[in-house]
Amino acid sequence: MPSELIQRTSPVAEGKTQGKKFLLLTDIPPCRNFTAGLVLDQLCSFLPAGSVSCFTVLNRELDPEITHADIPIKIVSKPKEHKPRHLPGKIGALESFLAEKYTEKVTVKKIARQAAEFGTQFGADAVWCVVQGQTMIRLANQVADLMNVPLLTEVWDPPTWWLRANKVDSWSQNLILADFASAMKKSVRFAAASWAMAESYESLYGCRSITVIPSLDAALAKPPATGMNKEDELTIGMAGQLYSSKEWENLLLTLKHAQWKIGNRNVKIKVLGRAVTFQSNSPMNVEYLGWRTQAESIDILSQMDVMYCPYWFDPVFKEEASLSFPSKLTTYLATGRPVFFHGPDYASPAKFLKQHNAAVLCHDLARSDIYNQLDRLVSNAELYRQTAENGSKAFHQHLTLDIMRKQFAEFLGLKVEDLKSDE
Amino acid sequence: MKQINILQVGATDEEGARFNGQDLHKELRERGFRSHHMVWSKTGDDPDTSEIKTTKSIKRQQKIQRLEYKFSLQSLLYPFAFEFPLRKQFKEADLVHYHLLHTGYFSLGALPLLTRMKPSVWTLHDPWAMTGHCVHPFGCDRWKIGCGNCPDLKIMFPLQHDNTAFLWKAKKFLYHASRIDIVLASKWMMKMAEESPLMSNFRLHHIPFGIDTQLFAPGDTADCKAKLGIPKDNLVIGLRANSNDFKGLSYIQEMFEHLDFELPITILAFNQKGHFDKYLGRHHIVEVGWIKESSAYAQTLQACDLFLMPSTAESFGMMAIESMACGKPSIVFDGTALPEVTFAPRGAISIPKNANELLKATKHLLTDQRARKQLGDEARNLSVQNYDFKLHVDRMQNLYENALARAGTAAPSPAEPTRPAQSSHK
Repeated sequence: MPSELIQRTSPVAEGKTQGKKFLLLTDIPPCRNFTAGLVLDQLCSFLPAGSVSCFTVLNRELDPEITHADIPIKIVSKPKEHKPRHLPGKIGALESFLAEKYTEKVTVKKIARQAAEFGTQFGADAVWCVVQGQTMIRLANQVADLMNVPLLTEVWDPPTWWLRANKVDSWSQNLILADFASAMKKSVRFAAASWAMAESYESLYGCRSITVIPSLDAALAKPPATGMNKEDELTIGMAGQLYSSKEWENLLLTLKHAQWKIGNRNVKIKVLGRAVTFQSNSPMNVEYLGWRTQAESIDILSQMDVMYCPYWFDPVFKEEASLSFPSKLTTYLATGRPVFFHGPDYASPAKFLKQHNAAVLCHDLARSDIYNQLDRLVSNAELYRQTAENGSKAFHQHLTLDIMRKQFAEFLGLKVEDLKSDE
Repeated sequence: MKQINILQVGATDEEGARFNGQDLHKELRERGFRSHHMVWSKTGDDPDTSEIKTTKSIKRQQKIQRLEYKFSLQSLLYPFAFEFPLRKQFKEADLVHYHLLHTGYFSLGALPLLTRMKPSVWTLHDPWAMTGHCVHPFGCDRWKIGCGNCPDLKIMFPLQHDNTAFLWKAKKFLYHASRIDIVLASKWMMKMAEESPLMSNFRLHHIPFGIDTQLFAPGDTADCKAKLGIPKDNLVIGLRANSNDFKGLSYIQEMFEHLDFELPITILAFNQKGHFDKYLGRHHIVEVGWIKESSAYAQTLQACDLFLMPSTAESFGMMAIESMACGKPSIVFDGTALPEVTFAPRGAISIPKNANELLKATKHLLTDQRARKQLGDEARNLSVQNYDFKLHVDRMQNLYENALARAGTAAPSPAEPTRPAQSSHK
């Protein structure tokens, strides 16, 4: 059962502002230590004081460093989305289905009432829901209905990924996906994580979509590099969550076979992020730098030669690859260094990068192709310079906070001047 | 006058279209035949190609596959071919031409029924139809005497227990109850069929496969290299990378271990990927996988300076004649169909089966540009003279007409054959 963790109110929460008010319904609050929270932190920074309150249904294992002290916030704990199965096969699936049903009918309903009460007290004119995982999918419609206000949805990844990762049984999956479709159809507007997702969901669900992609302050961006750092070295940078493990493993295997050399250059990999796992029974040249702030990350990565962006080849992840957009790509393009994209040609970032000629693309898991494409990038000075320049242009054209603010205003149904400029 | 209606039956449509009946079906349609291709698994969009498998039948097929493996049986229990007579395409066909039947969907038990209902032709793509379980018997001669006491149950297609004598007898029984014109693409296969007790009931015909010699033709090698990202000064060694028992990959790998050459080399590997990773950084490696689209495949072959095809067992060798048609010199091993098919030594270099010989021959061709050119030119001429696809279809058409005439259902075909099939009637 959910327990109330935090409740914070502030003077502005008591209806002193004149403009529209939004209830942010999310499973991660605006914070500084989780990617999703960082994005919400940016988005909330655009909103005038008193225009947003936040109801968070938080996974109790997470410990976010919450930002925006001025935002009224209520945090309740999220019911387990990974239902343990004690029985084998279909009986186990039935057990999971019944547990999901209980959560849906009892726990989620209770959370929905709490959220609606919180939102109504705040005087919210609309629910802005980050639709991620079965709990949030179920809550989106319910809370908007209870409050009798319009629903605005924001999707970062297709729901199938979450359901698969949490081993949700197929009966519940079908019901949850139907709830997702219903929430999307009911949404007045929908914020998509990529251009491909916007196009796809708009045609599927008929809701108006606006692309709101994790972006960065243009002031943090570095000028495009004109060449590599050293004659005899190649430093590959990798930042963020390492979800595409097969691709990453193949990069490491390629370098192992090539004795950690591309052409005559010795290769080093530097990894920034919360966690990285690998094993090897031969020498490696990998340095782990841990988690860094965005500004630090850009600074460190910009001193490397090439940014590695892996994405799933596995057809199981085809939907995710086609519709999601990795936030690390924004960081990479801000570094002014060329991106080496390693993923299928149908992937949404691949299409974006190809359209802007902003990366060297490797559409194969074969080690020979990884080697050849890396070699092509580092042995052709003009290609290197041009790719870096195009990447920088793509960043300034699509991925700065100014663009994000404009898109976000449209999503909320506001004028861009109604929002604050970035702080 | 009634159009002749030919039905091709096989495992796939697009993969191996040049020899699995798909291109033949299309050419027959071009020539005015009513033609249909019925395949277990359809990936292409040809309107006259239909798929046998359904969602339900896949599950049944998988169960039977497991059952056959458990009881060491091969291509006996699948029910799907018994349903052919209910299919419109089969009912309407004047003649049925079978291709690959041993890939796990067809029961040989259906042959007596099917071949008595319609005049039938069966192209043997390998010797499996003549053995107790294996696709290639290599040095073993037990297929001539009834198999049993199999020396190698693990080679393709493996068995759990030595059931080879039973399988051989089952084939014999079923073949003797069937009426089929057998097509063999090489004299090597022809000789084997003539020696096989299992084939004694059949009419045997030697009809080599054909290729589009306009498409598989010498091209601009430098341009093709550039398209594949191969530096223009690199010498390109084309090869088929396949780890099965027959394609000689281990000889190629051993050869590269010792290949010490002053000029930069590109290994251009078709089919499987990852077999040459250990040479990353030492040689330039381009792996193109299985190229479905014929013109892209031909262009890739055109990027080669020479082609290695050291198969240890080969019933024909399509890639060898395709590279010949592109004017590329090939290296093959003795003891398979390849020396005959490539007209070695005129159209290829044939060497004894060992890595050292392969190394010597490869080095010779790498260093001697004139030899490469001479051998390549002659290979091109030989392929045009012997393996043009139109010629292949002429021969096949002739065979169909003869088979139909014997069955008393012949009708004049829309096009006259230009060359007779080379047949051996037993």
